[in-house]
Amino acid sequence: MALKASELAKSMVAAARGQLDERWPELREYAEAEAKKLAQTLIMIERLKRRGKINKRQAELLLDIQRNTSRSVILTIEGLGLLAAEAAINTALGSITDTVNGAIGWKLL
Amino acid sequence: MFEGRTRARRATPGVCAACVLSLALVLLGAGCAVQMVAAYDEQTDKAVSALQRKMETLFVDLESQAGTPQADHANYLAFYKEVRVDISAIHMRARARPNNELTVEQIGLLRDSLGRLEEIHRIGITDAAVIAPLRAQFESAFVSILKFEMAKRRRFEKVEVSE
Repeated sequence: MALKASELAKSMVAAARGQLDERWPELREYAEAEAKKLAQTLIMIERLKRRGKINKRQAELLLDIQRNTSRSVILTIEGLGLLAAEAAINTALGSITDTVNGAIGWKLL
Repeated sequence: MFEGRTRARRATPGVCAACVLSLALVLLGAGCAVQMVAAYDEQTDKAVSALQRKMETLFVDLESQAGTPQADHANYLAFYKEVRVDISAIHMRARARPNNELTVEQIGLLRDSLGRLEEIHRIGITDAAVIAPLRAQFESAFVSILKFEMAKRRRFEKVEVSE
């Protein structure tokens, strides 16, 4: 039976949603995109294998590359979260700069 | 009794006080602005973009040569050597920058993927269709690195505007 990309992606998204729980709304877009890419890669591997254009080792290597890429995407998401946290802290700090400096009498912040 | 309750209530905020102290130390050490992620690095941005173009050249070549002797890995030894050196230089520069662990890991993953691509190539690329999933993976990896680097740059543009 031939694999179907849409069904594979749907299964993966459902599994990921269960794991991500509360963070699902925030990560949904990325999870769906990565699931779609992984499904497309698996479909391609199946087609190439049927035509004898790829061996098992090459398929494994291709999936390893896919995993590395997904990890890289997750690291970017993590980094964007850190940048958002950093901006929030600096904005909070900026809001009290005049008050603190005025009270202490030094340009401390 | 009332005093005891107050102490008990203060036990938990005591942990928060440690957090506040840590934050204060970070603020003082960082010149009053928190920096949790490395600053934007134009050289990394340019080097990663240049590397992406080199990889795309490889994929275009292999697409047209797949299944012919021209596509043999032996003909691309110099290419892989050059790209390994490029990635090594980007990795070293990234490691030298403070708070840059995420980018360092991304470049490490890219290096690992290149090694695996080379092994696929060494086994043999006999059909152009093999290139599509490889190209898609490398494109996504490059986009993720560049997207993060651009976000670092935007942060400083915002600071400049507000000053």
